[in-house]
Amino acid sequence: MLQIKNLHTIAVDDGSAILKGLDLNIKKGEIHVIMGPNGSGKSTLANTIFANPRYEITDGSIIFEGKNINDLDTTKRARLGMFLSFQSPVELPGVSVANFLKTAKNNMTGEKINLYNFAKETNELMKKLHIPSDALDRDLNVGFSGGEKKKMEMLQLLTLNPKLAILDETDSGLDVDAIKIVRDGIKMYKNSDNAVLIITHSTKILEGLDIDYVHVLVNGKIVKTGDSSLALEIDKNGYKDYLG
Amino acid sequence: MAKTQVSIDTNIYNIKAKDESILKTYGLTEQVVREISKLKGEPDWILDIRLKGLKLFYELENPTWGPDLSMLHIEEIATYVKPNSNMERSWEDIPDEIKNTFDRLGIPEAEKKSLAGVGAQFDSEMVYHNLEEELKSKGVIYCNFDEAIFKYPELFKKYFMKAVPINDHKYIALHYALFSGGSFIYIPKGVKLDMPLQSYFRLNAPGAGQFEHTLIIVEDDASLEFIEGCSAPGYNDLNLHAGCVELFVGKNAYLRFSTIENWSRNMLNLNTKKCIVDAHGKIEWITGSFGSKISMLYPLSILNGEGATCEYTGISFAGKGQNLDTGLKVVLNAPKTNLFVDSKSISKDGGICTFRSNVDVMKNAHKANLALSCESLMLDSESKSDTIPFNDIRVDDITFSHEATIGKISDEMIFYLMSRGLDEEEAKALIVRGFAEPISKSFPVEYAVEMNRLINLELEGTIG
Amino acid sequence: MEYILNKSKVRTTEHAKINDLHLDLDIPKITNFSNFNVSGIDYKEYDSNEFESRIGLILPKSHNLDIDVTKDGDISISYDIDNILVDNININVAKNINTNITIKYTSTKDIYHISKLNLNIDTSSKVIVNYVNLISRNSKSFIAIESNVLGNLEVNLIDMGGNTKVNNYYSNIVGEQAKSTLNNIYIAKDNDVVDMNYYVGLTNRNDEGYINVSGVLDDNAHKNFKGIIDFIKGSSKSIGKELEKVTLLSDTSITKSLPVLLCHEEDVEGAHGVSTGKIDNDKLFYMMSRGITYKEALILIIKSDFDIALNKLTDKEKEEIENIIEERI
Repeated sequence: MLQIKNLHTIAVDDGSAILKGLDLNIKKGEIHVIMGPNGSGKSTLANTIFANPRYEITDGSIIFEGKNINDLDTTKRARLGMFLSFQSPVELPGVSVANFLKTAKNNMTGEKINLYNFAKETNELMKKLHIPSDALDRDLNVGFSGGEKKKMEMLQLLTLNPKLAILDETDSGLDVDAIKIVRDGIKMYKNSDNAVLIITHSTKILEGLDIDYVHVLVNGKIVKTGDSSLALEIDKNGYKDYLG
Repeated sequence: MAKTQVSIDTNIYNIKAKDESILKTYGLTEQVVREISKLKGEPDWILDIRLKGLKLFYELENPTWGPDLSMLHIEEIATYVKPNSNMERSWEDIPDEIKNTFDRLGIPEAEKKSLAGVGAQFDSEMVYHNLEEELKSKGVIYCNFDEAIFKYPELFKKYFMKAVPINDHKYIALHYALFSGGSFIYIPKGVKLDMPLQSYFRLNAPGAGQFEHTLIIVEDDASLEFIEGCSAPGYNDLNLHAGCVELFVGKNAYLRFSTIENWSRNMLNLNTKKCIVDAHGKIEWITGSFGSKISMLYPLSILNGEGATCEYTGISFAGKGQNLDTGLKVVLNAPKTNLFVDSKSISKDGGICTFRSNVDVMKNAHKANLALSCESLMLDSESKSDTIPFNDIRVDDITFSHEATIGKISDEMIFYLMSRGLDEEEAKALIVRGFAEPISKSFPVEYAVEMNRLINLELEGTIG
Repeated sequence: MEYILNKSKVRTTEHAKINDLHLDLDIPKITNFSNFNVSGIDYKEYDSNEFESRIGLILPKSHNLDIDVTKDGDISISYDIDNILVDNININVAKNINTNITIKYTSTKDIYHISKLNLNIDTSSKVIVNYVNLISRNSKSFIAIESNVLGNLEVNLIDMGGNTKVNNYYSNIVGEQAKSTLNNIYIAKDNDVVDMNYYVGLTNRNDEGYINVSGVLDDNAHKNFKGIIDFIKGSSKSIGKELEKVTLLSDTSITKSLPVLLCHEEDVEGAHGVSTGKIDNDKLFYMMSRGITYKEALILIIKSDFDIALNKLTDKEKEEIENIIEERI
């Protein structure tokens, strides 16, 4: 579904090289995890896959469902069926959760949604995620706690139901609640037709998930790939074996 | 980023009714003023006011601050334009040309749905006023301003010119020389209206001026919501709006005065508004300014009674060639008076938004409470957004806070929204509507929808 | 003779009576001046036949100092005035310099002090200027400070002397990532007049400009504050903030403020805040409940407000000024 070949990126701000030849291949039905120490390029990867203008690809390619998407902007990539859950989602004053979900869904599907059904589905999802229904009227993420913001990201994931979900959870300071929210969100979302890429620092988020591959990212490159046992090993020993 | 150009397919404000006015006077001379007065059959004391205004207009100078008004030449302005219609009580009786304009602006529809009464002014004269029968029986008056001179002379004399003196500034002098049309509203003691009254002002004739006078008296314990809408089609000639609003809010009374202003981009909007508030009364100004070439508009509230409150909620949106200099003036003249200001502005395509305030806290305003907040949003670096607040404080035991911030649409916000499938233009529009939301929700729902539509119109083709 | 001084660059309604300051002044004849001391740096002294500052005073004679700072270290300049001083100090700070400059004015008699300080700060330099006005109680003070900043400048204007204080600060932040800060504190009582006309223009990317003013008004003192933060086109990603705090010790003083933000650039962070009011009664009560007298408590609170401009002074200098603050409250 997603193939990344020899990806090199620089930060537009200062021209520094971040990803230095990264390869990745994610197939339908798989859950991949990328782990790595601080500064290894984890957040850059998620942002580059989504064409954040702060990063520039200098070499290599990103291929989604067989199509090179290097030249597509963020909107077009999202509409292909990719979703990025942000580590720290922005606040949108004056934009209610209900209005935002409706606008995003309309844009993803490219057609006017049936409001009645949509409201019903949204309410069911909110129940599952333990989000009180009055949250629909609040401004998106404004004044939300860390856990509430994560719930909003998961609500969007389930509402938009993309082919590939990328979760940027690089913050080592995630609290237990937030971790559980993201984990439960992934479980609700995952099926044999879609795929998940979790980019993280800690293994807590992976508990109870059926992980197919774990990759270790160091200094802009994947230095080791293994199964879920690799995550446990890193949990025990840290990254010192991989730091050159 | 990609440049998108979206063309505006319809702009209902721009529909021009054929200029079928039956009388038009140009310029400003004693003869013109006498002519207008004679036509209206006014008493002499009104004519005297007009002549005094005329004299003062030529004596007073343009303001030494704010936008440059030197482009205005009064001799080129049609100072009085009588439409081909008399005052009508029934919508059906209004001539088609005028009726169609208001129909397309949605005025009669709004009346059916959500208003207690409606007035409509076309050029210099009101063409329609209607009020629910039930309110009439409670003593509520809602009529053409000129008519009030004859029908309610005591009330008229008691309040007319009592809030806004003739020598306040050059353009109020002009107003008093030429005033015509407008609404007169009287809400008796204790009467509370559940639904708003609305007057709609339409300036149709090219190169014309509109000088309507609106006088609203809300007696003790009464309450009213009044909405005025203003629009004009675009012509090349300069239009002038120098209206006047005088409001009197009694003890424990409440008045919400909402304005949606979408004058065309050739309008000089030099309106004067003033409200005098008695003890525990409250005036709420809600203002959405979208149109005009130049606006200079600072509603003044004088809080004369203990515990009186002024709340100001305003948004202005300046696009290409627009200079919107707006804000408010307040005099806190009694203990425990309150002022709450929430002002927002959006500038784009070289438009200039200025927030200007003048707050006087007088010696006796002990324990007054003031909170002002101004936010401006710049959509590009061609535009300008200035904040010029003035405060003069003469008492020590008040609570006063003033914040001004310049907002921006951050790259992070755009990226987040694009990752959810919105394109850049939609993302910007969503953020701008969000910025305006606290103000648009102060309007009745039809007007909030209208305001969002205006914002969308303004934003089309914004991305560069 | 009546002078019209300190004209605001941004005009507002004449009714506000804040655009210009009208003052009746009787300026004495300007004589030669030699009662000053400079330490820590070489200087060039000369007389000039014309003086003009942004305050609007044009005078026929002035005492001038030129100082080029090319090495790190502390510089101290002091003047003791006995009748009138019209001085013009030009300080040019070269690249990569770290310096702390204290300029102090004192007088024992009531005098006129009319001065202009020009500061040119080159890239990567960090300069702190402590400008200390300690002239006598009924003196008149006209301080104009102008700066062109490529590096980082902090001016602490400690304005304690005189019954008439007319101040002008005009800072052009011209470099990228340059920073200019003005911290101003004052006390005014009796029938004192304080007129402040401050401008900070941000012209380049990532600039920072700050105006912080904190003052105490007592009796019938009259204060005008005109502050402008100007985001000029090109100043994207810059930050500009102005904060004015006024503590009122009487309800007969007059406090007028015009804190202006001008913005001609989209991606900037600008803010202003004004806070005006009496000393917090809860704070006073709390301290008094711990056995502190009303006066001591008042002084403690004011000193903490004033610390923004005092914290770059040496302990000895700070103590001297804090003693004066206690005296004047």
